[in-house]
Order: sequence, then C-alpha cells, then structure tokens
Amino acid sequence: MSDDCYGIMVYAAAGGPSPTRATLELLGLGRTLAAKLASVRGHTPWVAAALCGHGVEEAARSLAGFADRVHCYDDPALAVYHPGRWARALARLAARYRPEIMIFPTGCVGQETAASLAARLRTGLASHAVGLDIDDQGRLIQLVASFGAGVLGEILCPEHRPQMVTVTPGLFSPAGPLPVPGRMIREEFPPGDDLGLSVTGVEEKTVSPARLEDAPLVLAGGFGLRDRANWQALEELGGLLQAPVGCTRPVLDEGWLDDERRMIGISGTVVAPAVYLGLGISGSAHHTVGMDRSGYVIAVNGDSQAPLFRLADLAVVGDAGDIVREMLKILDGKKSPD
Amino acid sequence: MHITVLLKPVPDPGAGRTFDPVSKTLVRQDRPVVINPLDRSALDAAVALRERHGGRVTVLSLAPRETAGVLKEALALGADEAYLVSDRCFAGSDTLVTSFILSRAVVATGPPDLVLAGNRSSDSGTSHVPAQLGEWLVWPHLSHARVLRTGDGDPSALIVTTELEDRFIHYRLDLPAVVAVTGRREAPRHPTMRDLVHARAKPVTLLDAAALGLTPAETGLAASPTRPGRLIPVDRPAKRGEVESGPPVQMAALILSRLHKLLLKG
Repeated sequence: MSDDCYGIMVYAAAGGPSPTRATLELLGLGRTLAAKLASVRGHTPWVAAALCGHGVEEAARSLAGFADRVHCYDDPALAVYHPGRWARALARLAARYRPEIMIFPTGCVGQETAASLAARLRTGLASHAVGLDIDDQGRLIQLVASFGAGVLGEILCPEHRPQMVTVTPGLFSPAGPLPVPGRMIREEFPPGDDLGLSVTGVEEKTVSPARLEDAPLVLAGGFGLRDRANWQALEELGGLLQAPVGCTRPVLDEGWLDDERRMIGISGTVVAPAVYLGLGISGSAHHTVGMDRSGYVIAVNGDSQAPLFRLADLAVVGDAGDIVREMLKILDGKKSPD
Repeated sequence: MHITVLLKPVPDPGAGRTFDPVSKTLVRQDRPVVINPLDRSALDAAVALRERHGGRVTVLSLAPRETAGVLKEALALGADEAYLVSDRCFAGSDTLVTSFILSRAVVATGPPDLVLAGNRSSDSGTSHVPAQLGEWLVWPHLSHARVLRTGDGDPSALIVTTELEDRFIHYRLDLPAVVAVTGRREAPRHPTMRDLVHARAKPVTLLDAAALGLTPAETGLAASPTRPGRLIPVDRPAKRGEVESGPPVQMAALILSRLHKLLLKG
C-alpha cells in the first residue's frame, strides 16, 4: 500500500481547443470524489487533468479553468495515437505525481491506455464504471454492471495504487469552471523504446454517421428483430426518419452490424435523446443504463413481459420486424406521388 | 510463422434468445459455451496467415476444464495444437493476473511470432487482456485492429490498420507482437465432418499452475489487485406508460403519428 499517494488524475481525451463534455464529466466526478475524501481525511486532494498530443497547448490552457493542474504533453512524437508512447507518458506522470486515483474515459484510446498503464504499474483496473464513491476508509468504490440484469457490483482496489478506472461518459454532470483557474504544466515526453511499433499513416473518417449522442430521435434495434433483413429494414427506416440507429450487443454478436461504436449501453454509447424508439429490445441492464435518461421512450417487443416496457411511455406489444416493415411502407407511400 | 490465438469460452450469445416462430417470443434455454465471437475472427485471421506464409497455429484458453470443448472446435477450424490453461487456483483472477498467467503460457508454448486475440469478449468485455498481455511480455501491442498483413517483403514485420471512433491509423510492428482484432470476417470457416473427425484425434494439452512454474500465491484472487465488493440491486419503479397492441400496420401508424407529434410540433 502506497500511503504517500494522494490526488486524483483524469485523462483528458483529445478533441478541439475547448474541453469536451466527456472530459468535464470526468473532472466533475473527480471533484466529487475529492470532496468525499476531504470529509474522510479533513483535507482536499488535488484534481488534475492529463493531456497528450501535438499542438494541444491551447486545449490544455482552457482545461486549466476546470482543474487544479493540467499536465500537458505537447510533442511531435504524440501527433498520432501510439499506444506505447501514451502508456509511457502517463506512467511518467503516475511515478512523478503519485495520484491515488486515475480516471479514464471509455472509448478506444482511453480503454487501451488504461489497460496498458495498469499492467505497467502492476495495479488494478475496473472498466465501464457507472458510478464512483469513497468508502469510510477513503478507498475508491467502483460500481460496474454485473452480468445479471438489475444488479450493480462494487469493485475495490484495496492495496494497490493508483486505483484505476474507466468511466462511461454521458452519465455524469460536467464540472463547472473553478473560481481560480489551475496551473498548466508543460511535461517533457520521456524518450524510450517504442518496441518496434511505428505509425505509418492516418486517415480521418470522411463520412461519419450521425452521432447517436447528439440526435433528438434515436432508433435502436435488438435481437427481437430476428434476422439481418429486418435489421436492414430498420437501418432504412433510420434513413427515412433521419435518425441514427443504435443496437444492443446481440446485433453485433449475430453480425447484422459490424460497428461496436453503435452499441448503446454501458460499454458502448450512452444516449439521452428527446425520443428513443427501441425495436425488439428486451431491456437488459447493460442497455438500459445507456438510454434511461431519454425524454420519451417508445418500446416495441413481442414479449409483453420485456423489462424495457417498464421504462416505456408507449409500450407496443407486437413483432418488431413486422412493425418496422409496415412503418417503411407507410413512409414510402407518403413519398411516392398518388 | 507461429501464431498463438487466445480463445475465451463465453455463453453462446445466440442461445437463450431463440424465437418461437408461432408466438414470436423468446424461448429461454440453457446457454452452451462457444468461442467468443471476436476470438473466432482472430482464429480465422491466424489460419489465413498460415495458409499464405506457412507455419502453425496454437490456440490457448484460460478457462475451467469443462469448457475444453471450444478448443476441440478450434482444432476443427484449423488450429494445429490446443492448450487449456486451467487450475483451481486461477479462480478469481482479475485481468492483470489473467494476462500474467497467459504471458507464462504463451512463452511456455512457443514463444510464437504473433499473438492474436479478440478485441473484447461478449460476456464481460473489458478488453484489457490483449494490451496487458503485451505489457507483461514487453512486446509491442495494438488493439482495435481491422486489417492485418505481413510486412511487404519483410517477414519479421506486420502491417496493421486500427479503427478508432473518428479515424483509421496505420502501424508497422516488429514481431513478436500482440494484436487484438475487431470486426467479423465476411465468410467464417465452418468445420466439415472430416475436420471434426481429425480434430477429435488431436489432443488438448492441459497446462496447470505447476506446469507454468506458478505458485498459488501468484494467481487467482490472492494475487489480484481488484476485489469484488457488495452486489447492489438496482430496481427502478416501472413507468406504467400507455400499452398498445394490434395489427402491425395499425401499430406502425400509431408510432409514426406519435413521433410526428413529439418531434415536429415545434
């Protein structure tokens, strides 16, 4: 146990000159935990943000409005994500500043960096936490969704430091600006062995589908659609209604869709649209944690006992595939001249 | 080229979700254990690399003994040799310890030129293990791999394209390396009767803690930094919304008019 570890460090994912909502949510969580630690110990630990990239100094400066310190690596070697270099940069911060808690956002870079770093530091990591708390001994309690529906499990890391966790953004309130902005500290990217891994090119995605997080109407399909043809009908419906289409894990497992980022749920994307329309989704906890703050919920399922109906403002008992096809027919009829 | 593929047995994601065609409702059933879908993609990619470059494919699974059947399936799908890494003292291992035990097993059964795994498992899905295995081995590692092939004219390198939320990144890796793949292959191989018969003749070798030179104190819950705590039931009160049922065409019209009212009334 490292009693000398103190403070909370949040990894800030890159994304434009001003802080992303996800980063602010993580800083908000960090500050809540700091306040709880203060009530256990009588003094408030620092909350810092860590940033890696090239040309990110402006982003680091604006981030300093929300954290006690911002540790900024701004180096040409970090222009493109390189797992080994990211782990090296953050391992140096962990050794130098000895945080007791490190929080990462879920997402490709956050998840991979947290895993590598935890192994490098020989400490514990919990993933996809939906809540964090502090116990009466000042230890971090990480709440994760267990396999069963309707149950959350606590995970502790009693003896190893830092206590590491990835958190699903979208579930927490963003931090507001601090009365006195924090300091921005320029960190020196440590030279080291890349183990024969090098970046040879980058391609930005040109066509990105409408983001699930931002849409006023989100459609979501599950295994209750029964087959790939019905899933494709749902994609077509999404096109006609100009709404992004998300899915549950079985849709990926069945191979109807090959895009993990469109999974709505704890280990995927969290949505809170004005209107959510779920088709053939039974409503496992994994999925519902990712959508239960939607404004108006319409659920369609053949099974009148489907748990998703408990969250529904409008529950339609019927075959999701058939209903999607009928909706397409109606919309097609409107489109074509009489 | 010697490729080791990590396979995790998971409850069949398709089972327990079979439909009764008459009532059109879910039929619950026992969920048999299958190869985690993305690990299956990794196995297919390994077999394809072997077919192009020669070599052999080893499959490795850290799992309870009862799940050895998935390794037989992997042998039928083209793996050359199979190892079950299993010991009572491995129970309760978190991802740090799991990846540590696997690092020992990878070295003991090779070491190979390349380790392939699925990017995440369909049951717990933390996606820690491939990156953590790379860290234990001190090999370069990449997750989120969409495309991989051997280096142009250089058999000691691998060219990998990963997919992140907003971009693709191309990398070159020196072997040995660990790569976690995402995405399904369009035409997964299916074992023929002949494959299954051949697979039955091949052994699945058991590697326990002693075989890997591990003591119980280095494995399982005892060695794991993380500890499970209490289970907390989350019971939300039901909303008791409006419930409708009827012919699909009528339900479709109802939903569309509701969407119209909610979103377009301004």
